Amino acid sequence: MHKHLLLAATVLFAAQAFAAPPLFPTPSETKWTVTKGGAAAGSITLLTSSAATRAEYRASAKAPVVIFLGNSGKVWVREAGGDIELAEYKGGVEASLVPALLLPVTTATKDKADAKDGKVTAYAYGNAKATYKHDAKGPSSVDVVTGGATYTLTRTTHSTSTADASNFTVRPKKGSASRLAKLSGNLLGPSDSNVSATAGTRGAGTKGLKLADGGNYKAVEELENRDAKWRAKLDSALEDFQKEGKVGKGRDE
Amino acid sequence: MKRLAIALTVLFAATSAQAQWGDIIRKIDPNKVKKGAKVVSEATRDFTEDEEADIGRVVSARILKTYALSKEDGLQQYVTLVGRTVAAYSARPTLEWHFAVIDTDIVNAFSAPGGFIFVTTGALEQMDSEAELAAVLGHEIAHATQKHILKEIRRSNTISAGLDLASDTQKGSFLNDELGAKISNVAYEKLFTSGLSRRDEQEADKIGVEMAVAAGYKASEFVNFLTKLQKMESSQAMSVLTATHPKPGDRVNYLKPLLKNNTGAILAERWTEWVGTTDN
Repeated sequence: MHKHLLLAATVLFAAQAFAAPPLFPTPSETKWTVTKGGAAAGSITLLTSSAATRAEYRASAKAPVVIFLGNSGKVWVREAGGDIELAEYKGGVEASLVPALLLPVTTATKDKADAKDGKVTAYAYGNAKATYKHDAKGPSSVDVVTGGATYTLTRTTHSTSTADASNFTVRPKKGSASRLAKLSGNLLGPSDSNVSATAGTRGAGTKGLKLADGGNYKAVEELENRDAKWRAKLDSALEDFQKEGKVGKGRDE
Repeated sequence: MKRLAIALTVLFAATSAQAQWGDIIRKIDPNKVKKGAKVVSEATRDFTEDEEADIGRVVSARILKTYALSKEDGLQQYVTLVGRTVAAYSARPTLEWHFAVIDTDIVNAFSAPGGFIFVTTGALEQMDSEAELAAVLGHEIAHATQKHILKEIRRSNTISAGLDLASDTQKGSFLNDELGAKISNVAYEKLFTSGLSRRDEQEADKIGVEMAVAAGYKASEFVNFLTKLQKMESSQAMSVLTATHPKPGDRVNYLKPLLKNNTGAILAERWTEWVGTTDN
C-alpha cells in the first residue's frame, strides 16, 4: 500500500517537474475565433516554433492587435517601447485567454498542466482554467473559464509555419526615466514653461482646429499641446543629445 | 489679369462644348463666371503656411483616427529628438515639426502637410539603430518639404471645388467640415491605399538620405532597414507599405549607388538604450 502510494507520488512529482508539452508538434500557424456564450469575442492568430510561441489577439476587426510572446520561459506582452511581463500587463480578458495557447511556455511556475498521450488536456493558470479538445493536427478547441464566464477558442485554420526566429524575439522594455536621466534636460521632469524663446512660429494655422469630418482632432490637439509643453526641455536636451551622438551641431564640438 | 483671361477662356471653351446639347450660353450668370475664375485662380496659388498647417491637421486627424498615439513618452521624445536633428538640415528647418509614434504593428511611417510626421511602433521594431530611424524620418520630412501630399490634394481638384464651399470659414480656418472630409479622403487614399507616385517616393528616398547624411548619420543603414522589409514583404504588417511604396528591393537598388563610401554615426547602442534590447 505504502509502496503504491510512494510510486504514485513519484509519478505525480515527475509529471509536475516536466514542462507542459507544446500544443502543436511542428511549427505551425493557426487562426482561432473567440466566442463567449456563442457571441464573437475576438480572434487570435497563433504562431508556434520549436521553442517559442506568439499569439496576436484582436477583440474586434477594428480593435488594435495585442501581441503575446511565449519565450525564455516567460509570457510577454508587446507594448510600445518594448515587451513587458504578463503580470505587468493591464489589459482586458485577453490576458486570461491567450496564455491557454502559449504552451509549452507557462505564465508562472505554479501553473499546472495535465497531459495524456503527450497532449495537453487541461491547464490551470492565474485565475483561469482551460480544457482542450484535439483532432489529428493538434488542439481544435479550448474552453477557458475565467471570471465566472466560459470562453471558447475554436481553431479555424492550420498551416505549417515558416516564420523565422525574429517573430518570437523578446525585447524587454527599459524604463524611459533611466534613458532620459542621461540628458540634462530631464525631459520627464516638471516644466513651468510652455513655449521656449526659440519655438517655431511658422505654419501655426488654427490651433485646436476641429471639423466634423470624422477625424480624431482631439488626438491632434493632444499632440500639439504635448510638443508645446515639451519644447523648452527638448530645446535644452537637443544640444546634449546631439553632442553625445556626434550628430547635428554636436559634430562640431 | 492674364490668369483671369485664361480662366475665362477655359470656362468659355468648356461651356461652348456643352452648347451642342442646348443653347445654355444665354443662361450663364456673369457673377458665377467671375466666381469660377476666382476659384481657378485661388487653386493655382501656393498655400500659405497657416493653410498648410490646417490641411496637415485634417490629414493627421485621419491618421490618428486609424492609429492611436503611443503613450510611451520616452519613445516619443527620442523620436522627436532624432527628427528635429534631421529636420534642421531640411529645406524648411523652421517649420513647426511634430514627430509622433503611433501604436500599431503595421510597418509604416506617414507624413502630413505642415510638418506632422508619424512612425509606427511596427516600423521601430524592425530597426536596429538610430541611423535607420534618421533615414526613415528623413524620407517623411522630404515628403513634407516637397509638398507631395499637398500636390495630390490639389491634383484631385478637391481644393478648387472646395474653396467655393469654404467661403464660409469655420472656427478661424479656411476649411470647413465638407472640405475637410474631402481632403481627408484624398489623403487617406494616398497614404493607405494607392500611395504617392513612384517618382515622389524616389525623390523622398533620395532627399531623405541626403538629409540624414547632412545631419551626420550613416544613412546607408537605411539599406539594412529596407533589406529587412524585403524579407517580410508578404506579411500582414507590410500590407499597407507594400501597396503604397516601391518594392524595398527596388529602393535598395537606386539608393545603394548614392550611399557608397557613406560614413557617419550609426548609434546602435543608443538606439537599444532608448527603444529596447534584444534578449534572445
